Amino acid sequence: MISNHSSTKRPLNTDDVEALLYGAGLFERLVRTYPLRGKSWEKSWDKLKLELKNDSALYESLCDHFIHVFSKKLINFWHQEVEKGRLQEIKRHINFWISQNNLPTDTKVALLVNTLGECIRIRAHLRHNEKDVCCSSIPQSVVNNFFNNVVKGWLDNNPSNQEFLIKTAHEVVAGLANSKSTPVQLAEVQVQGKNPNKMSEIQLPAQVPSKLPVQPTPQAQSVPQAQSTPQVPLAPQAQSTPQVPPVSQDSQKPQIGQTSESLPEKAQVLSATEDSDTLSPVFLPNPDVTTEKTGSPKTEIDASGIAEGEKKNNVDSSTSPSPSGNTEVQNDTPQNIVPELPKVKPALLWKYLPVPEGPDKHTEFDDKTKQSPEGMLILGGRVRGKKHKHEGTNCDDWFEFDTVGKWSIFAVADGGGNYKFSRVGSQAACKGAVSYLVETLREITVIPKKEITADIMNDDDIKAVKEAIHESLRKGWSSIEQALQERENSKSHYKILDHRDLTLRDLYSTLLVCIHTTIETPAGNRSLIFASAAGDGIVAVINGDGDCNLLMKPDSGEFSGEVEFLGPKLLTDASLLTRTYPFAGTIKALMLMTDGVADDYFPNNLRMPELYADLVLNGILPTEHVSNDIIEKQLSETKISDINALRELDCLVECDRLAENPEKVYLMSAAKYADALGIQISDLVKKPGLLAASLEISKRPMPGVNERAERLILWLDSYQVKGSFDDRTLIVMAGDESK
Amino acid sequence: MASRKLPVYLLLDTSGSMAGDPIEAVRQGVTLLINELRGDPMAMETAYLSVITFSSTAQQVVPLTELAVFQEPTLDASGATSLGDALDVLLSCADRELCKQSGDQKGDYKPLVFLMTDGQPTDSWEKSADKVKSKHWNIIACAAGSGADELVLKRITETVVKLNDCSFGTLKAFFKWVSASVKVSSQSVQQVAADAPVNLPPPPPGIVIVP
Repeated sequence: MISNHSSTKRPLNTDDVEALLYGAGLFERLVRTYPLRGKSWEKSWDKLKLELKNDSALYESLCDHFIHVFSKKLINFWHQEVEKGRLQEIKRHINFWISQNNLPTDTKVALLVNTLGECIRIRAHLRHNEKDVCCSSIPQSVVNNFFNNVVKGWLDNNPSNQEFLIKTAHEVVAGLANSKSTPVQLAEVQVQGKNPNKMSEIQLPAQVPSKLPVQPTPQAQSVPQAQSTPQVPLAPQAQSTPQVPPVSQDSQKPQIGQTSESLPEKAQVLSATEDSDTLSPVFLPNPDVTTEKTGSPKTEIDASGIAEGEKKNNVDSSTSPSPSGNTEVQNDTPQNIVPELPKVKPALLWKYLPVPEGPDKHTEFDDKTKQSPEGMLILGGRVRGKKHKHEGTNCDDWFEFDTVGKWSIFAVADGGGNYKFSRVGSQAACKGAVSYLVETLREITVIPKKEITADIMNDDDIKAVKEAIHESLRKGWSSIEQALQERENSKSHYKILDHRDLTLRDLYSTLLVCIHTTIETPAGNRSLIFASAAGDGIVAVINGDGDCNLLMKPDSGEFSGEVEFLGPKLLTDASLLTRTYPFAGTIKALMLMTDGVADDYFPNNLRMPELYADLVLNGILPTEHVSNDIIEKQLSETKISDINALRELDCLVECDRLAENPEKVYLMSAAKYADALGIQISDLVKKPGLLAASLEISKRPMPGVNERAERLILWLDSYQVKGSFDDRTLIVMAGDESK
Repeated sequence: MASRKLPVYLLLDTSGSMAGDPIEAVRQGVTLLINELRGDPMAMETAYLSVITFSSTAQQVVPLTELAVFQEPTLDASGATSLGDALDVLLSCADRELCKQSGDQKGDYKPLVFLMTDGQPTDSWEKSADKVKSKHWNIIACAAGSGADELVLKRITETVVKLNDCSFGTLKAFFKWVSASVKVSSQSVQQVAADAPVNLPPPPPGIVIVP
């Protein structure tokens, strides 16, 4: 958070953030060790000052932030005391603060204002009979008593306090009125430094505007800034601790009116003379409310993260009834008045940064459509993963496909995530392999077979095909080597690699190659497919019966996370033999994908049908041609036999698309649809009538997006799976072979 | 369908020698770690955290938990340093909590283990150390202060760092480094080359990697 010191101009740096968290922990220890009630609290304050003195660097950075935690602690504690009617205790606290000679007046006053303002707010709520969790248990008489005896007394006895209180109250009102945009924007402006994400994490929840009432009273102006005088251990900058009113949005308006109403008239006159333009609100709205309004991503997360911490701390902190401070730094919402713990939404932490300019820039996404020699639809798409969007880096995936003669040739590749130019490798590998196969397979025609058996693999034409696909992986590798040579002595690469030359390792990539053709047999046409892979990713076939065949060997090892890359080690004859898988039979679809998609559908053998169903349901792949009779029959075997009930189904899931202009995208979910029908997802694929029936559902996914390729890209870019932030690349070939 | 986890185990020495400021610093370090990680979307979506403490005995005080709902444990320091017991607990927890690869099923990511101790083990630890080392997990052992024996830790993992002392500042820096390491791991979790060493950010001053 940003202080109201003269050092306000200085944005938080990483050290501050560290110190802030550290300080919060330190504070928590303090309040655990020493009860806030009774005199020992004052002793603990002194002790804390001593402790901080030992670490001057820490002390420096804490000056800005530390008191934030502290005054919040106090506020929570005072809440409790008000509730119990123990006004004496609060009076004593106030006197203690006022008697602290080493604190600047504005600090003292601000601390009190924050606290007393909270009480005013409570009273306002009670007057309006508003439901407010924080004060529902406090009888109005207690609040009135507190207000009259403590607040008014404090005001009456000290004109400068009064002046400041009134002025601040006005700012609060103005701040609430303007709060929809101001706080977040101001806080964002302050974000600088090496790691802006981390900064804003701290700053945003507090919702502190950068301009705070620095000079609240004439008296205060003359007081030196505490943080610049080492003798003063801590300057409680309570102005910089906005007491976030834990009110719902609905209750804000009455509160505003009431807050100003409850101020003495004299004071209002005084405040009218102030230059309010330079001031910003001290009290700010509930972060959750602001988040809704501004779409600011960080606030809600922190609120929730903290809320979780608070729950536990309330339990084990016997001396402090209020939420403890170890995580409070990031959040001003008193946790005991948050009615419900907000859900953590990691989605909101994600940022979008465009693809950076520089050598070998890849596009954000790419798609391609083509027809296979058999007339099947071939669709390919690649989107930049959330990790790359978040970090502002290039997509590392690539795909290529082409057709020649009776062949369809596909390749997908995933550049190694830790290598800055691996996208060059993935592109080179795909292009090298596909162009080689186009040239080689042009000359090879698979002759009709009597029947499909394992023996056909030894036929000369098939052997030549296997040779070709093996060789294509080698060509993929040599293309990577060539890509390196082309960039030899490239200054722009040298610069991006922190002044070293590009090496082969920088271009490491996986490579999956797959070829498809149709062979004639007496029983009819059959697909013949070969797939060969270096590294992970999946080639899967959904066969004519709707079952899944993986043309892959799954990872080895006990745990995942280790990827092999294309390279000489994997390109020996023996190695290639173990990496090549054939398929012969009828197919509904052939799918090639990098692990960005494959990992979202694991275990792959079980969930590839679901991927296919998702593609069909979302209008990316065509539904099979099924007669109405079959549709009706298959539907009658499900929970939804009535066509009207089917039309009313809601099988959409809401997804947040991470983009320059984030948007909500509604996708149809095979899991939801199968669930509504009361069947297994695999049955959806086995009973094409059910997939076709989905066209009747009136709530459509991705409305207004007409092209299949466009739908594929939007779908790839939007569907959400926890822990999935890799680039996503998918080639799919589907449709009716006989047509 | 649950996504794959990046399991992170913290093994913390809570023996008597850690009493006072050191244990407090460790506690705050855990807080710092959590807060750091909660701001990182990739860590939020993949990293799961567990805390195992060891003194006269070892126990898992926080089971492997998603970051969003992780609750910091109370740490009290007393007793001996049962390192062997801690390693056994780690092995049994991992066995129970992690999804291993089998057949067509991809397992969780390889566990990331941070072990911190400030003293000599007081139980028989050698066998457990060998067992843990044979797993080839990513284990970072931290010898905090002069009392810790780096050679003991070397038997558990190749990656051993030494903290010059157990002061607030040093321990804070250590946990900061831990969080950076977890972040890096969660980012590159899917794309680590099989032969690449564990990918750690450079440690800050005060933390020395023991060769």
